[in-house]
Amino acid sequence: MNSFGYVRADSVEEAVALLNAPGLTSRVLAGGTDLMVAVRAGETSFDRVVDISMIPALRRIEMNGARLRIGAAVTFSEIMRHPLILQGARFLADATHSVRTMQVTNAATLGGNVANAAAAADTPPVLVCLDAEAIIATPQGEHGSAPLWERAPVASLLRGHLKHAIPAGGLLIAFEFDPLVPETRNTFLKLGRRNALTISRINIAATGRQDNAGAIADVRLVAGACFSRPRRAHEVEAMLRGQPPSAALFAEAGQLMMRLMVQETGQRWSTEYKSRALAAMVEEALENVLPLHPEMATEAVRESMR
Amino acid sequence: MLRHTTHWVTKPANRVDGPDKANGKAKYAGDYRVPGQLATRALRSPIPHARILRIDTSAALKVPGVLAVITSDDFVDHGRFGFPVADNFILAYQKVRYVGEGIAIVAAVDAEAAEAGVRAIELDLEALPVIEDMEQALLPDAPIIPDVVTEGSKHGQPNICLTQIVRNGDPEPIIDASPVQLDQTYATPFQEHAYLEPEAVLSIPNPDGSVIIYACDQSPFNNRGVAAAVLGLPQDKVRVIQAIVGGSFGGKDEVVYQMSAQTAKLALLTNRPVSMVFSREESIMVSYKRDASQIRIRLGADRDGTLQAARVEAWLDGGAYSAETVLTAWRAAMHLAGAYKYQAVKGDVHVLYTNNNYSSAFRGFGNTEAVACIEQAIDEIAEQVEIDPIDLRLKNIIGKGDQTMTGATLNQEVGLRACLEWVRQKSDWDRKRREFPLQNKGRRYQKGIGVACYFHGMGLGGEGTDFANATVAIERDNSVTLTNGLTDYGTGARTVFTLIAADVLGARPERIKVLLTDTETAIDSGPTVASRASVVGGNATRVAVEKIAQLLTFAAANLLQCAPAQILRDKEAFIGPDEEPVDFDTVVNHARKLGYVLSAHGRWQLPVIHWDFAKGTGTPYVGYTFGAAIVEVTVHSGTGRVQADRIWAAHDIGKVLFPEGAYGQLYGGITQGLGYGLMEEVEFNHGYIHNVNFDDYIIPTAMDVPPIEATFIEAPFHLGPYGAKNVAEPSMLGVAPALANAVYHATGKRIRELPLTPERVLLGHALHNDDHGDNSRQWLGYGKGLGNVRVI
Amino acid sequence: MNTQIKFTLNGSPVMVEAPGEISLLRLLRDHLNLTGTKEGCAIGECGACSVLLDGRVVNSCLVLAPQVNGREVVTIEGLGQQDGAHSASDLQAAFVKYGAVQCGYCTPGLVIAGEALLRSNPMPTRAEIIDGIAGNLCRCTGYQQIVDAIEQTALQRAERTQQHAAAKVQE
Repeated sequence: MNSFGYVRADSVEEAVALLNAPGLTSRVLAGGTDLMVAVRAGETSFDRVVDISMIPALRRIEMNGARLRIGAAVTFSEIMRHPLILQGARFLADATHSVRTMQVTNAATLGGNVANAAAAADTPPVLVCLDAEAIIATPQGEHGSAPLWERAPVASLLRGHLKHAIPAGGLLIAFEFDPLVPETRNTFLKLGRRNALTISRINIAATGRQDNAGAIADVRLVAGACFSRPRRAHEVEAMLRGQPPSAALFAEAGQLMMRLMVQETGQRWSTEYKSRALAAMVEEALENVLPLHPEMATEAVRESMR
Repeated sequence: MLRHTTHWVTKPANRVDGPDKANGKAKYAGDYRVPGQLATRALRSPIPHARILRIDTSAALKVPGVLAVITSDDFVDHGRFGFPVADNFILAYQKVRYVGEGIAIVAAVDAEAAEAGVRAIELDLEALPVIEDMEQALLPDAPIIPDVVTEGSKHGQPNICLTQIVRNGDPEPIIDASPVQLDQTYATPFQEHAYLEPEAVLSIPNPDGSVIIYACDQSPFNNRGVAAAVLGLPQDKVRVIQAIVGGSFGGKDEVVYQMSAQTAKLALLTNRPVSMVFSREESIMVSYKRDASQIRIRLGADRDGTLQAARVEAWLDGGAYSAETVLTAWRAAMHLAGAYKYQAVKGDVHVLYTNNNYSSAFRGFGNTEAVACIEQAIDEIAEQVEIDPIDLRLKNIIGKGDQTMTGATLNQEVGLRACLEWVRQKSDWDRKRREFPLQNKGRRYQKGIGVACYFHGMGLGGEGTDFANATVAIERDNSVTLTNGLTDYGTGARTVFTLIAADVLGARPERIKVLLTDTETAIDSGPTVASRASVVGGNATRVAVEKIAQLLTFAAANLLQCAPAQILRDKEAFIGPDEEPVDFDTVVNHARKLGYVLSAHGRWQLPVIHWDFAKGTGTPYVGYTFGAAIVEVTVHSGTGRVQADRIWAAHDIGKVLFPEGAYGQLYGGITQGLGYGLMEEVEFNHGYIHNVNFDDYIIPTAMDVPPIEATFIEAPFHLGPYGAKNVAEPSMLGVAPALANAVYHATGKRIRELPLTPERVLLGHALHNDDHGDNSRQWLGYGKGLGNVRVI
Repeated sequence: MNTQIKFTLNGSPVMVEAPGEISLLRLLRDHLNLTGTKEGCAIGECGACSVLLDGRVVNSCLVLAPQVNGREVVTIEGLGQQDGAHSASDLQAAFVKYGAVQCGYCTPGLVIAGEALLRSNPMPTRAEIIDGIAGNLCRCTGYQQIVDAIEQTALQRAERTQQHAAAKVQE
């Protein structure tokens, strides 16, 4: 068995100091849902875990001026029920709820989901779609005792499956983004092999807003688990912007997304399936956020997806 | 004789083992903690097929904390076992034939020391060519897997273990002359039992050289038989006690026999208790599976949809050891063409050896595979003749007095028509069949509805003598103790025995305790398989308890000074001619005073029937259960994802003895059928299992199971206790083919290969992942290299 | 390396010396002999090891043992205690009555999940119950009777609460 120590931090400053204590390789422990699995599988790259899950400053959901701010140690369960999130980023709540497992959502944290950087993770595509920023405490001073607070787009932290760009010894503190205005529709679609306890084969986060004439004023699209990392599909967004929504246009968007995926990841064993499913899911996501018949409520669509 | 009114049987009842299980007090084999208990770890094969050149365990024995190491050399005849074909070993002998096969076991003071011991063992393997699938097994230059002479050897096909046949006339000319013909091949996957309790065993040595084995087995007497033989002990020196078993579904026989013999040997060598508890990964890699099958079906029918003849040939991937697949194949053969009337049927089921783990018993036992395929073929015929699938079935199903596909005459009430009519009506079938295709046009979410029906032979049938033994005793405190040689591994059998005893004896169920099956107190009743516990075990209980009930009637008559025939019973009361009731305790106490022996033994056996295995003719079973299922689905046309929306099921099980238990079996079986049809598939890549835990091997969650509306058609069965038949296995049969038929109705795509994963539904074929054994190797302890294992 | 872990277990303070690298599940089963909490997969995919941690249901296989320091853990063995020592709680009794127990291996975890659900949502719909137990695999029952047991318990509790309130009004 891997031998390592455990220490619980009560504040951000203490956590950063502990993470940067000399002579020890420390690792952050938040919800434990990924770390414990890795430990059991023989992960031995650290000799101490620093438990940050009880730090009050990391556990708040609040408005920071006009920005919505979610602490890094906020759990999925807290996110999926929080009124600020249901109002300003409903699809983030949907993404956390898509895990469908109280045991996991009670433990898993937003920061952990980003820092673990799994390709199939459910919240990073939503955060990227929201152009969310991460706030990171990085070590400064002797053993990091006076941490510096930095900001970075979430998209810039995700460097591929299980790879992140959080500075060494740094700690995710919170995520911030502009809540969506009511005119902007949003959707989170997940394709798994069953309805609960399932890893996403593909997931999609999208937002869309139409102008008074019905043309596409704004659209954002991010697909998870099929690109090397979640990123805004700017190529597809640009193609859509200014156009009137139509089934043909969305089909074209789906085809473009599929080509982008194959370009970026090449032909893999799953490409034959995933490329077709991705195109179909893009179409569906776009229909949800840019309805051809706007009177069709988003709620009904959500229900039909379970 | 049985009374017609019942007080406890057929009424709402609490499962006797329910409270302890709900309170967390029930002890499973992995929950026992005894002083001095040793832990074990296994050295397992990192490759699918190899010759064992050398095993040196001397370094392992020097590891601190290690007390003993065993290999095949520690057992009589190298631990060879297996019924009907003795091709398996307690630990691999001379060859390994699948990834994860046990080679040596280390017992040590704790798991870490045992693991260090395993790593210290030196093992040299000579890799042999791997047979990855059934096609390769049949190639002329294929390496030979078993070390026994097989039936196939006679025909130059040594990897064919044997072929089970049914011969009922000559179908080929009839098919060739039929105006409507079908010739299609269907495939079903390997399925993992996925009982929630991974296997566990604890063996405790006794000073006299005997050993007690607490095991999570299905059939303790078979377990004892194997252990005694390979340990070289007389039967009375091996006592097997069945712990509470956390699910089995056919899955806890051979693998648990191996664990039992291994721990028993280590316990005797070390004189310490020895436990073995599998991790989930170990469970999935080491335990056996439902065989994968390919079934070619040829059918001939008239233009009006009347079925004429069937020629069916099936190939079962039995993996590295034949185990019970030999018998699974026989049951498959007996059901290959379904519950229909034919002029002629010919069937062949071949059991093949490959290096894909090994296959053995799993709920449905061959008929699951058979129904999955024939019921799709029947729908294909219905489509050809443009007749509604239910109408076509109603036209062709067997009834009382008809000949089944094997040629045997059906001498029993048959509830199949009632089952089909019930699901048709409840599901609003006719409207949905008509309207869904119209509604689906241009829609992303496409609806479909499909049906399947089935018959399932009861008990062991031609496989062997179908008997059970029960005992009953009234104890000093007037409580009643029962034993039964057939066991309860979660099925509710102990509750059924309790209710039968309560009714026959006229004693409250709370008085009655059914002991866990212990080979020292219960009487050998053969294996607990084939859904036979309620009928055979229930009747044995009835026979035993009737003897005591009669004594109590005599005692009551003596007490009340009347003739025994004048005694009436009302629950626990004995009522004589003066109508003054006397209670149970008074009568029991009086019986003791009279010197009556208040214990008895009951044996019951199904009528003997005969099947000629060589000719493929005879009577396969004394009776059948029947059922039908309808599944409604939504298919996402863009992703191929199938969602089951609702399920209707009707099952003819005769009289329902324990309703909560029977419905539980029905819902549970349906859910396993749903998994089999939609998502479950043990994926082998070059002999390595990819999905070794519940993250990759997925079974239905609560969110995947749609509302189920189900009923029992209680067509009475003259041989069953109170007219009961069985439910456990057949409940799962109809779901997978009904799903396939519903997906076809929704999409117009006939997949013919289960499970209906999104890939198959969207692309028409499966995709193979790129795990070349990394998952398996990691969990076998070879993640960082082979260590002291040399592969040449 | 061994470490001292102090926490509240089923209402009583406990202190135990155990390796700091093990899961709460192993701590309960191997060091505190509470074997009602089951191991089904050890990777958080089956829910058999569910316990309440500070009142919320978690998979104890995904909790590092020292994480419970100073916190409150309730296992299946502790669930009935509020109604008298180790008596079955109404939910446990409902599991038996409605046929929600078969092999029983998943049952402790499902009872814990059901209790957690009812504490946060006393009158759940059938769909909410299904959502609430989605993290618990059961291979025997097909879940239908488990949902029945939780649903009926909710109804009975609501009835009792109403009766209680009515009695208070009468006083």
